[in-house]
Amino acid sequence: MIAREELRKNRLFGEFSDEELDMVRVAADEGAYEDGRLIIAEGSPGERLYLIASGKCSVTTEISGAGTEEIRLLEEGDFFGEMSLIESAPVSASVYARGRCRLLWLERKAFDRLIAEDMPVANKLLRAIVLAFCERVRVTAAKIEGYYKMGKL
Amino acid sequence: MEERTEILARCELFSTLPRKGLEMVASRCVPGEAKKGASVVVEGKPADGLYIVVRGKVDYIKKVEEKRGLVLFRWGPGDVFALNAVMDDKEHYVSAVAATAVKFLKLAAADLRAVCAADPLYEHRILRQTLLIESNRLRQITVRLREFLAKIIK
Repeated sequence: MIAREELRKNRLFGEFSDEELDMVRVAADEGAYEDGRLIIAEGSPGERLYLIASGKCSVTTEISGAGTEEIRLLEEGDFFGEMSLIESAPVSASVYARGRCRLLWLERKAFDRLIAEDMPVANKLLRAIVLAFCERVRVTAAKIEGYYKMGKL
Repeated sequence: MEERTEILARCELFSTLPRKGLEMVASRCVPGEAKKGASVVVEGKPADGLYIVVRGKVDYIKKVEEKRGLVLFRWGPGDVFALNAVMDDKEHYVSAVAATAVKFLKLAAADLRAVCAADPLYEHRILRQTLLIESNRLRQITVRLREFLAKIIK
């Protein structure tokens, strides 16, 4: 079973008690991905919440007429895939392993169960995701500013 | 008060709250208005509350040069703004400028926290709605980012 400390290193579960982490541990799975391997594909139905236990992952998107561009680099302690689970919408970007990485994941059913079963636990998890979303919106807005300036040069 | 509760019931952020929760939020909201062109929130300033548009339109503008901004979103009746900065307790990442004469309801950050603390169910529903709202905004803003990237690359 996945070690508690490994889960606690992730920003989603930093505030979880041992008992709460155990609820996640029993539902989580793990695996290793080699450099360049596609983990989730843009446009596909998202079925997992991924946690980066070690290594890095590249979030990319297709730019019409220009090919693939990296829009974000995720590191140990980050997570991805949650947007599709929350919205039940297709994945908005592709994610690739950048170097070898180790990932933990929760399948959609396990994620839904975690949210539905225990409200204090669910609220902790939702708060952590909300904070991450807020940061992503900020970072993306700042990038727009940067690209605007680059486009003017 | 009744009218305010109805407005909140149509606002995505609060639409899933039970009646009691809606009334609690309504009792803590303060009405306000802004003339066309006035800034309701200013990029870089700390957030002290969130806003629900009652009437009119509000532009969410990212400053890109000293006197130039890009409109990232336009909000209308029922939309909520300044939510991001209230949730993460940081400064506003954009300015909100009245695109027309605007009427709004303001809920102070401390009052939002009080509502969430009053009942875990209220917090749960507000957090879930926040995720849907922010997730949708993140998708929209990523589309804008793609458009800029495409322009630069071409």
